[in-house]
Amino acid sequence: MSQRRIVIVGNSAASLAALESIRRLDGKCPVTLVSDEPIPAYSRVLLPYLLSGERHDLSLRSPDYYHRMGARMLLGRRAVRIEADAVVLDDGTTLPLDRLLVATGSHAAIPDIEGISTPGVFPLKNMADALRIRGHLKGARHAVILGGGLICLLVVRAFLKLDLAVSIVVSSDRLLSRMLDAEGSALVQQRLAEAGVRVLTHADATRIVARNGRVRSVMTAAGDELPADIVILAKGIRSNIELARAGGLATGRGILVDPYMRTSRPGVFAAGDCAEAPDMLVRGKKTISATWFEAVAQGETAGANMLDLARPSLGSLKMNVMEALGIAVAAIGMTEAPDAEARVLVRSRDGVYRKLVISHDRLVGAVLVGDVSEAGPIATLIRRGLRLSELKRFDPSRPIRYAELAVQWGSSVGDSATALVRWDRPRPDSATC
Amino acid sequence: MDGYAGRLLRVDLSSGKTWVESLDEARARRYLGGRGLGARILMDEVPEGCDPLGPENRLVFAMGPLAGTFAPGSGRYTIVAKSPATGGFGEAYTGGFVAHELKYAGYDGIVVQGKAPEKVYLAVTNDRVEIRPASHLAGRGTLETEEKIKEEMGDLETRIVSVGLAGENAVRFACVMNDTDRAAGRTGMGAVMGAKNLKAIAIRGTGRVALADPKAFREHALADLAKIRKHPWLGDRPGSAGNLGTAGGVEDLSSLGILPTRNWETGAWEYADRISGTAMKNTILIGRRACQACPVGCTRVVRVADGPFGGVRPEYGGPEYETVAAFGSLCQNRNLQAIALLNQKCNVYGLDTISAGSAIAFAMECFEKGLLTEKEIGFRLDWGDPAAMLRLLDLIARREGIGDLLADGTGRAAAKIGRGASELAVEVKGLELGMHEARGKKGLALSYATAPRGADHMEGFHDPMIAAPNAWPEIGVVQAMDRFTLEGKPRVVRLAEDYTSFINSLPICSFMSLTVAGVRNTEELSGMLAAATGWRDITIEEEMAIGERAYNLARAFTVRESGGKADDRLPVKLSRSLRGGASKGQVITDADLQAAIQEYYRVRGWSENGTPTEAKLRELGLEDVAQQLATKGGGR
Amino acid sequence: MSRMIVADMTKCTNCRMCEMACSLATTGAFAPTRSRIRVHVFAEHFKHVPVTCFQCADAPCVKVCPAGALLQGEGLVRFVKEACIGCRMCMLACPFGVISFESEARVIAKCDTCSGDPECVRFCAYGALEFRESELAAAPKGRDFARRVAEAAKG
Repeated sequence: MSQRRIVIVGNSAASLAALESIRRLDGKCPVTLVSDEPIPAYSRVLLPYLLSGERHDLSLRSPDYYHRMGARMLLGRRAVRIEADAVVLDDGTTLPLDRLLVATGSHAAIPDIEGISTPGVFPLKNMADALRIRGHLKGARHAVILGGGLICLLVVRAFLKLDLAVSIVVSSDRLLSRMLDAEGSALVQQRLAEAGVRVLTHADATRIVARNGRVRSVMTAAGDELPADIVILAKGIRSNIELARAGGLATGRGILVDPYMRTSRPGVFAAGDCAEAPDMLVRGKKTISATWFEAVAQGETAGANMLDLARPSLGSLKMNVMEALGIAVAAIGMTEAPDAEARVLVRSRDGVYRKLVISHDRLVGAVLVGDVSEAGPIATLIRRGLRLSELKRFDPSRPIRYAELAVQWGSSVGDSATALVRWDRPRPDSATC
Repeated sequence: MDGYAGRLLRVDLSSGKTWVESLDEARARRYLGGRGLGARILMDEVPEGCDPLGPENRLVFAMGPLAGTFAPGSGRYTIVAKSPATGGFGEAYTGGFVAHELKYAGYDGIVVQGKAPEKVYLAVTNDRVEIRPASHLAGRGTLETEEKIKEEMGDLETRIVSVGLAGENAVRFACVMNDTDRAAGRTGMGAVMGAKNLKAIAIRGTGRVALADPKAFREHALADLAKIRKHPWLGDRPGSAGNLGTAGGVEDLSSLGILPTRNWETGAWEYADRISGTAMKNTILIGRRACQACPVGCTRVVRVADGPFGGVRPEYGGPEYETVAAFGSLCQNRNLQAIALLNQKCNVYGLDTISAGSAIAFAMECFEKGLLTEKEIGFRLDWGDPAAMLRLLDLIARREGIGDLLADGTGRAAAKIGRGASELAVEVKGLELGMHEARGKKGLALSYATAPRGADHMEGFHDPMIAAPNAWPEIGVVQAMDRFTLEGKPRVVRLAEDYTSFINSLPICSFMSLTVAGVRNTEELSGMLAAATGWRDITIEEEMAIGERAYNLARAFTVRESGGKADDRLPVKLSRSLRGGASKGQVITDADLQAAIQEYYRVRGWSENGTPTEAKLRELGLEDVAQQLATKGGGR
Repeated sequence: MSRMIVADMTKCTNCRMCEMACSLATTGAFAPTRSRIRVHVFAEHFKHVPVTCFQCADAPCVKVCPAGALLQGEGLVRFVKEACIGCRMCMLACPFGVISFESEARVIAKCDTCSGDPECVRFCAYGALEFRESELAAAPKGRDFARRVAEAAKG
């Protein structure tokens, strides 16, 4: 085991989680990380804070981290080819290996809009993007964000801190459409309106107008012209799968993996934004989660399995939490009823919104706005897939707290406490969902 | 102002208006809160002669500077109003969690006036105050009311004050309940609340209580805690209040001959061990609870699942001493499960257990002597019949049949029954006696006779406490005294009452005080008070003055409203000799009592009629009260 | 050897001293809604359950924190307030829900055992809270707690 040579392509959440997972089990096997960025691991979640000036150091770990972990770090190198027992880098270096983890992440989707290449139009995916944006912010007064998801909201926050006037162009009917339902989203939208942010829904940007070689405005299909000194693209992500494709790995929109994070090629694993993994709640379905949580969970699972520990993941569960201008928002699992038999319980009062989605006697999803203190125990409930009918008294009007779960379920929560702190113990009943 | 919120919530149910009145530091320092502040408000605002059940009466919920802190025993508040039972100063004390919650909501108290056109409840969430419809809660018991209101408030952490059917029916000894099993029992405050059509007050407070000197406060609190935990009765000992509850002393009281038995005929009972704290522990007890910030945990939690007295639930707690004696030895009922059910019913209906048990015992003796017949009652009411007791309790709460008569209290019921029934009613000024045999504790008898709210067992002190010398040097009581004499007691009664009045103005739980449980913590208590408020120069003399001021205010109110000397008396039974037990033969003659009362008036600086003199009131800074009494005629 | 705050719910009387002691120590005033130890009440079962951070040996909150504000220490999960961005991913990750959010400071709050001398333990008069070595030294402490809660609930 100690001689198993491991190479990890990537240096973000999934990669670090994998490395730590490996080191918990084996302190000696050689591990090499390869990153095409020239800097040690940094937190992409903190990028908007770099823009606003609230953070300058985005390091995810201490400077001596790789040394302490006994990992070799190759920065600024790109992996270009996967071979039988090695991976080849752009500078010609060949790294022999026994196990490979592809954690290449994702890139921002670039919409096909006239003028998209105008200077002043940026995605925000990595440090290079952030530094370019920061350089362009001087003297900027108006910002337009294309897309209404998570990144958008985080950028809005940063830009408001810099006193920019912000407009958002959203093609769907609401903000955070992947995360929230109409009612939950309305609470967020109201907050943005109070902060003076202009939100256009059912809107599509059709042209980016330049002047003097820089962006000046954004035109929409409806004919609005939004002044813009800077435009941020927040229209989703695409998995980075070129390396995998070139290596003959089975891909969909992402690198296809099984519950052990194995790709179609023996010895090669994938985790994080680049992976398309089995869904926890929908059998047979594979999804790209593109969340920080899943990247960490998948990385941890991949790490254990690369050492042949045979620990299958419970499946991908979409979980996100964020703050939209002072309003906490969390979405876990299915945020809408999956079918007609599902039960949806909503409680909305005084700006605090809680939605529970129950399907086949199990909690499968939740949306929380305004108060996310129940998020952890709810996520536990969903992940454990416990049957609500077996509870002595499941009362959805009561707050869902750990103490309540333990008291109501007796020892089953206790037995699975190991699974509560790890992401990969099997569900009690994997036959149905 | 540190320690205090500096705000009183005012509610006028007639107009539906609510507003915040500020409480300034000068007033706070003179009256503190609790009884002191409540008495001041009554004196200022309640018009002379007003109907206790009418809109002019004020219903005051008052805390003080320690509510919201971790001062041991600070989870207390006082309810003050003109009493429908006594016609004079009414007050009741209770624990639980409401005091802290109301403070966190940002108030030092609530003053309710007027009467709502329909049943309502008050919903207080920090700054937001609403009067909400409560017709759908009419007649509902405490737990049911709380569950429904919590659902409407959308917050399970809501703390609730409420009345039950008894309060809604203006039973004169209806109590106010809070936190499901805590009762502000005495003087019929529940009837006042019910008469205002106020079903409940719901409170959610998420704010903070800041102190002048948190560090010093914490040190004093730790020192206080240490003393309490070492105390023989308050600490963790086999026979302690925490382990056996306050009913733990039943057997001892019986052996001393001072356990009220058979409607005060005797002081010892052969079945005392069937209803004691030990009996509870061996049968129905499932655990104990505490009020907020309390290290003693005397609350019992009992369960009776099945049988003729089944359905006793843990949410309703369990019986404490007064209840066990009032429904037990006083009525000669040996059945502890029945007592637990009677206790629960009182919590559901909102009935004072002392007065309820006393009413039943009175009725039992009337039945025995043929003053009440089976036809009038509807069934036999033999001594010690628990099923009959339960039936009668229901009738009282509903004011049906004989229950309607008894619901007015033993004094009024006896007057209506006539034929010497008044000699069987054991009450003073309309308040039934607490379960403490005053013929075996004569200093207590003096308090029973003279206390502003009637026969109050928590006002003064219990004589066994000064059986040894140097009981309370802190307040000048060092001589050992015999419990069977009235000799020299007036001075001691006055000192104990003033200190207790200070405790009741804070208010904190009497168990944490010098004169009730004998905890030598006056320094720690003063220290916490000073550290909370910033009043570093406060002394025990000032504390005694605050207590005396509050006591005199309460007395002045009673004198103004219902009378002085004429009502300072003892029930006829106490002038007869105690029949059995170790205190057998003890009696308090009218002559001895009158002499002691006159001495007590002198010590207190009152006139021969028991009215606080102008000089005394001036000394206490209560000139305006002197004027009020003067225009009235100086007491009857 | 790592110690943790162990709660015995059969001894808890619901007096809430722990919440007040914690909030006084951590915020300078009495404010139980900001306490890092909370008592959960099950009145119908007659159970009061104090819950606070278990200082997990393999803490999910540490793993997910994207700002480096939670660090795995020896018997302690250390919170670095200056690094926290208030994203609350840790709240979502903690199965026990013991992390809370400070609405004014806009960062999270979590028990830090008062530097090894917990105030809540000091002020509990009933022995319901102890700060002692966990008998399941390296194993997930949450499991022991859950088992004890379950056993107590059966009684």
